[in-house]
Amino acid sequence: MINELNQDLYKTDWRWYEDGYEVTRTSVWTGPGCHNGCGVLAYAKDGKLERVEGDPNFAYNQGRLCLRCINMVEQIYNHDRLKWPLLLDGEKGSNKWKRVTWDEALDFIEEAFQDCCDIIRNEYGGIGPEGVVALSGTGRNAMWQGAMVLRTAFGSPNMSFGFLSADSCYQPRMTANLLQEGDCWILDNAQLHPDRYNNEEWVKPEVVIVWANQPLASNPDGFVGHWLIDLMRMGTKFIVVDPALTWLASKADIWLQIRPGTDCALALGFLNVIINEDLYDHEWTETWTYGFDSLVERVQEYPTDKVAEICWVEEQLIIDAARMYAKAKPAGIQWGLAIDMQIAAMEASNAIDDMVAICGNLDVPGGNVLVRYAYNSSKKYGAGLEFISPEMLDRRIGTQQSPIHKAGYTPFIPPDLLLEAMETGVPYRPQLIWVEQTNPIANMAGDAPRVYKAWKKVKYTIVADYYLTPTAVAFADCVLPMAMSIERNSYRSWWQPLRTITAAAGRYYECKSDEELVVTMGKRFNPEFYDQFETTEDFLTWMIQDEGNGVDYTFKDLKEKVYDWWDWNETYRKYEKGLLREDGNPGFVTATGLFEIYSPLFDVWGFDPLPHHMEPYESPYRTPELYKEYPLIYTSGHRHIGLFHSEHRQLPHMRQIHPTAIADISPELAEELDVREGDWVWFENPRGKCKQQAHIAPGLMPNLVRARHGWWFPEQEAAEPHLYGVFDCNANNLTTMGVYGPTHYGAPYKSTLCKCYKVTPENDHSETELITTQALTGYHFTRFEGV
Amino acid sequence: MPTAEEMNRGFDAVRFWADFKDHNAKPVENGLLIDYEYCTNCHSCEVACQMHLKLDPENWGIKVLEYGPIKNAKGDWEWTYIPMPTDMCDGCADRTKEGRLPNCVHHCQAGVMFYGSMEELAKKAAEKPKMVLFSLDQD
Repeated sequence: MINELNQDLYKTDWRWYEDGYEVTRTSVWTGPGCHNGCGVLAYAKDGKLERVEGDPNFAYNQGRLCLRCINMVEQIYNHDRLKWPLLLDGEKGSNKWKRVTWDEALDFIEEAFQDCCDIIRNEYGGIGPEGVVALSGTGRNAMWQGAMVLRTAFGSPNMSFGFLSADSCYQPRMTANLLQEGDCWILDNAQLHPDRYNNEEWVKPEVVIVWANQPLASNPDGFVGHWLIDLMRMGTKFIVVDPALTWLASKADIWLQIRPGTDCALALGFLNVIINEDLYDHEWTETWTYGFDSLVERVQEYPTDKVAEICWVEEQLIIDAARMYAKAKPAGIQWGLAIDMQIAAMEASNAIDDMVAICGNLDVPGGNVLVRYAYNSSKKYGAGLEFISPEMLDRRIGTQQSPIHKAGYTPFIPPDLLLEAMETGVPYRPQLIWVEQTNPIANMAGDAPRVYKAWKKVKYTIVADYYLTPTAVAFADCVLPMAMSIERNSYRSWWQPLRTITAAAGRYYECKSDEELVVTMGKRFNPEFYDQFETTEDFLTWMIQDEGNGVDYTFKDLKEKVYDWWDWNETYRKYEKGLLREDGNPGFVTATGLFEIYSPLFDVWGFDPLPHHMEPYESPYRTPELYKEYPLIYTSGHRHIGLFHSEHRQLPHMRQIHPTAIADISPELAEELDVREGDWVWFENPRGKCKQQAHIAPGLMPNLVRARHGWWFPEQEAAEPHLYGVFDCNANNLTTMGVYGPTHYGAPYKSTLCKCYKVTPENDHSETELITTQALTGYHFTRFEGV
Repeated sequence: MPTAEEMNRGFDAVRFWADFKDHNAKPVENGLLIDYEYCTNCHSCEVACQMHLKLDPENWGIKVLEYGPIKNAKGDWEWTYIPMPTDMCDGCADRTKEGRLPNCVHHCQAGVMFYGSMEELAKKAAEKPKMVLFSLDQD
């Protein structure tokens, strides 16, 4: 038989023994990691991981794996890994460390915390603990742990992404969903059913719009990109919205090569066609939406010829795509990060959400389905909020300035206003930054040199990570070594199913898992609460049971179940069945109970209650003078297939595939600049410059460049001024902090301007050395809350 | 100089190369069928192979080859990948003997790699265009 699965070798037990191997069936969700939680079989001998295979008995990935898990052994036993806690033994940035025990590290943290509280009380008249800020990276299995340390051990409310300007990663899209229909949707690729494509209720989407992402490389938001290939092979037609010719775009029926930052205009153009050609689902719209008439009026302001001009897309393609999507039953949208990385992020998200709704594709098989964390075990970034008093919540940095933050739609503080607090000391300067597995200056921080300068003013920094990173070397006083995925017990409830993460290999030196770190910190700082847990597994049971909101079994039970599919997430048309609202009535979790096309809340908060186009912050039309000097549209952050953000740079097999920061430029630009494949080029704008190696990418929008993000060089000198070359190729030397739309969501990481020229022996230098040796006075304050 | 007739004779012989007995000929049992219409160049096969054969990063047992992206003479974008087994590939002889799939096939993210007998795969290859069948040397 072809591709026959041998059930004797691939069992469904949680653990078994064969040929001297202990085989553990588990899922992986960090790290180094990604957004997914694929199932693996870990083969270990004498506690040492020998190999990993994809679990063919897990419907989620069906045995397939990407490089990150395939290459697990190289990650786990990499000599660069941190082995024990370190305390700084010199100036910050000197990379001089001394080995200490965990107890000594905790003593240091306790002293630093006391000092932090004293300063906040004495110098700012505050309560004390709010002087601690915790930073989180993106959605790997280190999301809720930093929040738990911060809120339950230190008692501070100040949780933030690692200087991700305007929370520009999924937060705008999720918040738009939450505001309009009370729950988030995802493309229904049958991933919610354990029998996947064989499920009786599921139907294949006739059309999928892949909007603003390349899922094959990014695997975004808990979605395995290659599921789309399954659909393609089943005959689904594709519309791709992307300024670059991605592989998916090359196969699409319609490819809309959009100007970055104009997605809202495009969606309004689609809606114009859908409404004016009467292609929408009347019954659904009349029954389930609020404010449709106002949208009918609004879309008249966006005729397709005007939209074509705004988006730089051929008018007929907009009309064709709108018809193709609206006429297909069902049709789905797979949306992505580029929507978040523009000042009109919220507006674009709302407009796209409106398309899903009025075409009758919401929560139907093969459309966009509403999902929650499996079994509602949903302690995520908000974990531990119940430990924070209202008085302490009021001390959150920046929250009062943003209505959506103030109203509690996000557990984060705005990263841009955190940066301002660090620079100005208003309302107070954070004294201790707790960094849970994030490497902001190499990765997500907008205007990274500005963040570097501001962070140098912070008294204490504690970094918990796998490796020393530029962030750790530049700022940390104390570094804590963390265990990797296959070494730790945990769980994942993000969407479906509830999954175990089971320790399958021995522990690397003195590393602790993030979960153990929560309990360790908890027992030291908050024994009243944490002394109820004897083991980390006890604590994990408390987490998944979620005080009666989650499951009714223990972590040990979950480990043995391995996966637990939640029937709620499998159910379609939940709004009809009264499954969404707490009162059990049909409808959505909104004030009107309807899908709010017109947002009464936006109205109250002083925002436009309907979507509207906003020109990018820097653009050919908003800033024509600037465009003369910087005639290229600059985007950053398109994903490497196999690498995750700034991770994996230590691994020889990964670096063979992605040796360095390789940017895309168009053949037209290459010819103009006399650049050949592999030449190094500078990208520069008024904020800064970085150099990357040029790849000449056919099909790329001619005057657009795509810079890679996350590049630092673990093989280079760590001590300042070199700092692993973190600013040499840093795409975020050119991006912004403090620039976002009126809702405080969405920063222009993917829609700004630059110029490009060749690197020559005369102009070549290390940007890192310039940035790390500059005077630390002053900062370039930017604040734009766009219209 | 050979005469035209002699040259033609030589040409005929080459043309009918199907009759050649290759010095390397031996019966091949199993093959690797690839539906290259959907290969996305995710590199999973390459690294899965490197891990299985314990190869350094400079060596591959299977390598993905690329054509395009190019706007072809028909005016369409063409961007095609084909994973090609190298001389290092032994068809995962030890894994397949145990009843496992070759490591590349097991992990292929697009699900476009098929392992089986040449006979079955040849039949499958005839089911749709854009399939390529590699015969494997598992000795």
